[in-house]
Formats: sequence, structure tokens, C-alpha cells
Amino acid sequence: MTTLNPNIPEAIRKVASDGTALRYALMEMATGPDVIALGRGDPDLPTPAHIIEAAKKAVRDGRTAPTPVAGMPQLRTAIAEKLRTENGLPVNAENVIVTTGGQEALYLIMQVLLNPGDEVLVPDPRYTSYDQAIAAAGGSMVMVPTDHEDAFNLVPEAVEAAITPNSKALLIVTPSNPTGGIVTRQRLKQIAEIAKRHNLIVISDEIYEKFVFDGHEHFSIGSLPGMAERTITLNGFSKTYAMTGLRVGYVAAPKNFIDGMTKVKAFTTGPAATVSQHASLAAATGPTEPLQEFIRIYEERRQAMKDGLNAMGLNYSDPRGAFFFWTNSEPTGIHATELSYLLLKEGNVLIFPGTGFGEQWGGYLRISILQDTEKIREAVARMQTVIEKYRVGA
Amino acid sequence: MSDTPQTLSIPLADRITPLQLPDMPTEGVVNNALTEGAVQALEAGKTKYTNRPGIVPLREWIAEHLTGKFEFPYVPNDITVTCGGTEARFVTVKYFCAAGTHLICPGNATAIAGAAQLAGVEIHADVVDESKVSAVYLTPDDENLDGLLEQVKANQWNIIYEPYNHSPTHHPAQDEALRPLTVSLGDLEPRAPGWRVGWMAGHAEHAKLRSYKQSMTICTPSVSQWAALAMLEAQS
Repeated sequence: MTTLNPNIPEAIRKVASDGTALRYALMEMATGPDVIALGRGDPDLPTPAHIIEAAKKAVRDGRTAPTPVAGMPQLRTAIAEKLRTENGLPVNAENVIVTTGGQEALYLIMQVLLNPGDEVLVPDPRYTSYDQAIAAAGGSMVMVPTDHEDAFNLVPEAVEAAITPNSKALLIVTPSNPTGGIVTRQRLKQIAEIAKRHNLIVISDEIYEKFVFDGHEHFSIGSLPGMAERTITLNGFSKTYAMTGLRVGYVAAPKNFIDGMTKVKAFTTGPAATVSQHASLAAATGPTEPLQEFIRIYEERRQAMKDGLNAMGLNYSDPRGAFFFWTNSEPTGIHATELSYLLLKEGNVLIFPGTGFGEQWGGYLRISILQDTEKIREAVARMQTVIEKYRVGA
Repeated sequence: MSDTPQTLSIPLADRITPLQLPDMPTEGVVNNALTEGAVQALEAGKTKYTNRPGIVPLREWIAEHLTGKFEFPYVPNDITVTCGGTEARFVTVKYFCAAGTHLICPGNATAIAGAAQLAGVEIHADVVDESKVSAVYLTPDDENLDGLLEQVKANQWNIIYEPYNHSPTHHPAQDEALRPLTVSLGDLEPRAPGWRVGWMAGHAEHAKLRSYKQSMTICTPSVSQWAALAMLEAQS
């Protein structure tokens, strides 16, 4: 494995150790019309028509006044109903807060939960926006290793080994961004026992729950006996319904926690935009066929990506969920940050390096499938050309 | 469901207990441009993330508006669109003011009080200890600021300036020495309640303010931004 090439631009090198800044620096470079973006987790598919129509109707009817800070009552009720019936969580509307996207949900959770010096156990690799939310609350992260051969499933023994007297919470992300791994029901049962034994709060990020493939299942740890009162479940509408720009997420938790989040939210961002909440209500209560069609399309794209990576001889972790292929790029001999830059500069393909999800992941790429199948095939062909040109030892 | 076993963060609980949820307007506004802007955005599929700082035409409008109003130049890159004035206030207070420091508010501090309380910042009408001051919050209603602004210059304090919607005639950043220290806030909630659009403009460390906003909400809702743009263009 080579080290980071000094010839890559300063804009990349100076932010290489900050995963979030690195991803944004690459996105800002990816502005050409010929760029195929397989970076950001922003679904390209159109937001389902019934959601658009509901939002339009709310606007035309003048139903745009601000809602209560915790969200529109009928939306909170619909979310609670979904969580009870689909996820097995014993919640009511008072246990739900509507947020301005999943990112704000994470920010508020950490603000309310953490005291300075508290530690949060975080699976490694991770979506580095967690870093910002935890740091902003004065907390710190303790990494829990996960492994390629285990499809980046969370290992209970590794969780327990990472616990210290300062441990306050465990973050679970299933399906995972960036690995596409899921935490299986059996492992979650074991982890729940650990959480109870060590009095840990569990933050369960389930934002990709609807995208689970190849016979795997999504399971909510908050549904296990004795876990509801110590689990904070984070989810949202952005990824599921391809409506990231409407910025609606939500959190389910015990009422005292939701009340605390509501007070903080009142003075940090206020209620979520009303039109966005009407769109979300339609998403929560509308037909499921559009989502089934999304899943069919993503399955087709996954197959195209698998075929392409296999043809290149690149090994990837079993992508059991979400939109991502966590791909081992070590066989190219090129550090992932440099490889991402080369793929963008010479191939016009935007792919995030593993270092965008933890500095030590210089041997991995996170490749999304959020382009149509033909573009994915084209992107893979371009990748092959660039990799063959620069492969170390070629 | 019973309450969490380890409830709220203790320092934060101390801060939020006295806070009362603000009264929210119960009526929206009927504004054809706002409505049509939103409908067109929805029909055009503008339901994806926008750029972190906000859509370019809205930032262009804000920059031109501020430039015309205060007669010193803003460019779109000086602007970050926020989720209402609420987010703009919180981001600036949180970024400029460490817990325990003083925010000087010579006039009406109502709008900024909640953000200051959350951030653990003390509000004072006058400077009582220069060493503890982290920022100054000004509005167009403030008078006799010459002495305070000299202290600002001498100490390089940050200024959070909130020109309400009643045509202020001055702006601290009209003084070139104060310009890099001044962030100007905007809030469209009074004109478009429920749409959650505001902004931060200017300051030498604007990029860092923008990054803090991004870490909270990534971007401001897309449809709201397009609707706000339509409303502003129709009114100008």
C-alpha cells in the first residue's frame, strides 16, 4: 500500500484527516457535467408522486403555519403507529419528536444525552458526522472494531471490551453507512444484555432500515424486553422516500428524553418546515408500492455493481443493506484518498475514499449505487481504466 | 414506556429547565408567490439536498439585497441559508461564545436569550468584565453605541447583528474595521411562518459558521428555499 501522494491537490490533502471535510472537498470538485456521482447518499430516484401531491395540496390549502416544536401531532401519531407495528417498539406520539433531518436528530440526541467526558461506543468504520455531534456535546468516541470477514456485523465481545467507566452510550447503525452491513437479531440480543449489564443507553440509527437485501432482515433493538427505556431510535424519511432535501427525520425515546430534545430544538432550529412535515405524513401513511419499486431498482443496480467489481477483481464486504459497497481497494496498491482523486480527475467518477469514514481505512472505497444501471456500468468501466493505468506493480 | 435510566445530561438539564417553549404563530400566511414557488419546486423534483450554504439564486438575492441596503459589498459566498433565524442565532452564539462567557446585549435580547441560555452564556446589557466578553448582539433599535463599538474594536469581539425587518439605517459592518467581526442575521419567519428560512451573512470566519450549521442540519429544506426565493423576488 502506498502512502498519500503529495501530488494530490492541497484542497484534499489539508482535509484528509477529517472525514466529513474530505467528502465535501471531493463533492465540490465534482461539478462537471460528465461526472457520475457515486459518493453522497442522496437517492437519485424521484420522490413518489403521492408525496409530492400531498405537499402541493398542503401548500395550496394554506396549511403551512408553524407546527409545535416536536412536530405535527398527526405526523407524530403516524410515526408512532409505524414504529409499533413494523418495529415492535412500545411507543406513542409523546415518545416521538420530528426533526430537521437525521443529522439534527443526532445532534439533539447527543446534546441532551451527554455530559462532557462521556464516551460513546461507535462501530468502526463510521459515518463521521457522528464525530461532530458527539464532540459538540463534549463527548468522545471509543471505537468498536468490526471486520470484513464478518460482513461488518457488530461483535458483542468487542462492544464489551470497549466499555470503560466513562461509557454512556452505544451507537448501533443498522444497516450500516458506510459498510452496508447489518447487525443481526442474534447479535442484538447479546448486545442488549451487555447494555443492560453496564447501564448503557443504546442509540439505534435505523435510517436505512427499508433497504435490506438477499434475505436478511432488519431488527430494532428497542423491541427487546427491557430495552425500550434505554433505547433512542433514530430514523427518517429522507433515504427511504428519496426526499433528502425536505429534511425530515425523527427520534423515538422515553418521554422525558423527548421533552428534553424538544426544549433544545426550540432554540436551535425550531420546528421542522411545515410543508416538509405534510410530505412526510403522506410518506408515512401512503401506499407502499413506490417503496417496493425502489427496492427492485436498487437490487438491479446492486447486481450491476457486483458484476463490475467482480470483473475488476475488487473484493467487497457482503452488502446486506443500505446503498453502499464497502470495497477493498488494497489490490490496486493505491491509497484510497489518492485513488478517489484519480477516479474523479481522470475518470469523472465521484467515489468516497474509506478515509472519509475513519482515517485508517485507506484501503477501502465507499461506492454508492445511487445512479441508474447504465451509469453504474459506465462508471465501473471508467474505474477500470483508471485503476489499470495507475495500479501499483502493473 | 418508562423514562430513560440515565436521564438528561446534567449541565444541559440545568440550562433547559427554566426555558419555556416559545409561542408559535398558529396561522400561516397567504402569499401567492410563496405558494407558487413551493409548488413549482415540488413539481420540478427539487426534493434533494441542496448545497450546504443554500441554493445559489437565494444567496445571490440576499447578497444583492444586503449590498443595496447597507452600501457595502456582500457576495453569495458570504451567505449561508439557515433553518429560520432560530438556527442562525444558535449557530452564531454557539460558535462565538463559550459557556460562562458574556454576551453583551445593550437593547432587546429576547430573540437571542434562548440560544444564550442553551449555550450557557450570560447576557449583560453592559460590559462588566472585558475579559469575559465573547460577543456583542446588536439590533437596529440600539442607540449610543459609539463607546461599545470602540471596545469591540479594541478587543476584537464578535458582533451578531440582527437587522429586523423595519429598514435599519445603519449596520456595524459599514465600518471596515468591524466588518470582519460582524455576522448579520436574517429571519423570514415573520413573513413566511412555518417555512423555516433565515440566514447568516459575513464575518471573517463565515466558513466555520457554515460548517457548524452543516453539522446540525446539513442544509435548509429545499422547497422552503425555493419558495422563499419566489416570495422575495416578487416583493423586490
